[in-house]
Amino acid sequence: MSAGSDDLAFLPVAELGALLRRRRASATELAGYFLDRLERLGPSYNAITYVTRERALVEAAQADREIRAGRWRGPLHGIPYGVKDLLATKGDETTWGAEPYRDQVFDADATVVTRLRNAGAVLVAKLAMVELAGGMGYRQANASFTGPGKTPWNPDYWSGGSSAGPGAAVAAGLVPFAIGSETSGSILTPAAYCGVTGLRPTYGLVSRHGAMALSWTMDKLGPMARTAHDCGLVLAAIAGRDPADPSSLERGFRYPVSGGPRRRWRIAVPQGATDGIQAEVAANFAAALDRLRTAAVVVMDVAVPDLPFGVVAGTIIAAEGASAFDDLLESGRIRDLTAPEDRIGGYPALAIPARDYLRAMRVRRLMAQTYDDFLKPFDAVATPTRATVASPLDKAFRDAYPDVKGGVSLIGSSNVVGVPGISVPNGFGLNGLPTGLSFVTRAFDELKLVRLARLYQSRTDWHRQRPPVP
Amino acid sequence: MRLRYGDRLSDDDLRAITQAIHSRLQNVDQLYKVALTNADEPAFVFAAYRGTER
Repeated sequence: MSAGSDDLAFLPVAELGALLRRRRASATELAGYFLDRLERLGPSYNAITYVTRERALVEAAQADREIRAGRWRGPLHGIPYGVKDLLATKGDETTWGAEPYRDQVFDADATVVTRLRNAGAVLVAKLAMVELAGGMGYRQANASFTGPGKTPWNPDYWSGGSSAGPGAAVAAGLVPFAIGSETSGSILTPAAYCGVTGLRPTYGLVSRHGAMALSWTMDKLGPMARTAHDCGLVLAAIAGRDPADPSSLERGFRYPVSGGPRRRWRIAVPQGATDGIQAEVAANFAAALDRLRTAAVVVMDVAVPDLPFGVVAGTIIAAEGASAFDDLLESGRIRDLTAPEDRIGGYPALAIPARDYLRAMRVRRLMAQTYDDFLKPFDAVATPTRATVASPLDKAFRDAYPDVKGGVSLIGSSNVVGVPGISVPNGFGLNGLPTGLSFVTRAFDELKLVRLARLYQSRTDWHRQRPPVP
Repeated sequence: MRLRYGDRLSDDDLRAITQAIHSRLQNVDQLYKVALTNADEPAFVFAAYRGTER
């Protein structure tokens, strides 16, 4: 392999692919390199549940044979990757981050894993996650049998949740890309806290078949990687209709595509977006907007629809989650979860009347229409991904930064209505921790999201910064 | 909750659960302040199923 070993760990997918195509590295060499890093460094960040060494070497050898024979499957051919451990992989433990499911093994791969294998990608690891994707209401970082996820930028701080392992593993150069899941913030939050790029697709664009269900109507799977371009490449491989997931849609995602708008972008910023948030987060957001203004009209102080997004999200996730984990609640095995609050967190949801759940789902339809009207005049709405940097591991979330009580996050609202979002790194704040910039667009505007994030990344180098990984 | 799961929940657990239910009830009014008509359906669609003929 020609690249220096550190360089290799932090190369984007597109550049690793170029090495493979030019025969400067083999898929087997890449797999071995990232497997070694996973085994050596993964435990430092509580980032992995299982390294799939045997499977990876088989898949890599196949990729090498095909590439040597001139059969090029595309930009992910021979590229190692990891999945959040809520995706089933045949014959491996799939733990959902939760002690009661620690020995769970499925006899088939999740559709996303199958699609990535068909694209020639090489699965190297199942990555750690907050137990049950946070569905039981965890309130601090130590909520998985693998321990609290640690951001490689400062391991005394959280990597975010619930895709804690994917965020940390991509940031530390343990995998070039990973698949995370988001019900309400679980891709964008770790992307921001770990300084990587995370894309949450429109609900239904990516099949959920073989993924742990927390909320059937809100769960989404999406890529986490170094760049928006890499996220686009991965999304193109995994999107599209799957007969095994009735919520999946015919509409796929084609990428890369040439062309694109020549006009100036039109970006909205919600009213109060930076009021009361951490000063460094606000300053980084303002600097990001300044960068974008050379190519975009930034419309400030736009009003976000005044609807009870939080209550709707909370009601839907709690009610669907309680049903999805019926067996755990009824058996009493919920007491074996790691976080004390998760051990009783499922019970209150059993008292949600059907009427309230249905009311939330009816309000949700209205919200989706109103939200589309809100997004329609703009190419994207921009916000800081989170109001603060990551929390310290030894504090409950609410006690981490008690003075920060402001800002406007679109994470809850955009998840309720199912539209896509992306978070890109945009600087650093307290204690050397990264901050994130988010864009949200109308449903199925992922191409716009990727292009806008690429534009930002073409003018900044935050996504090229490396944490102090040994 | 006490009748169904009381044997596995401590008094502290039951207090925390009660508090969580109260907290939810305090917010749930917001759902009913949004005006809906009889025609506003929930945001999911049931599909009738017909398997393969063979």
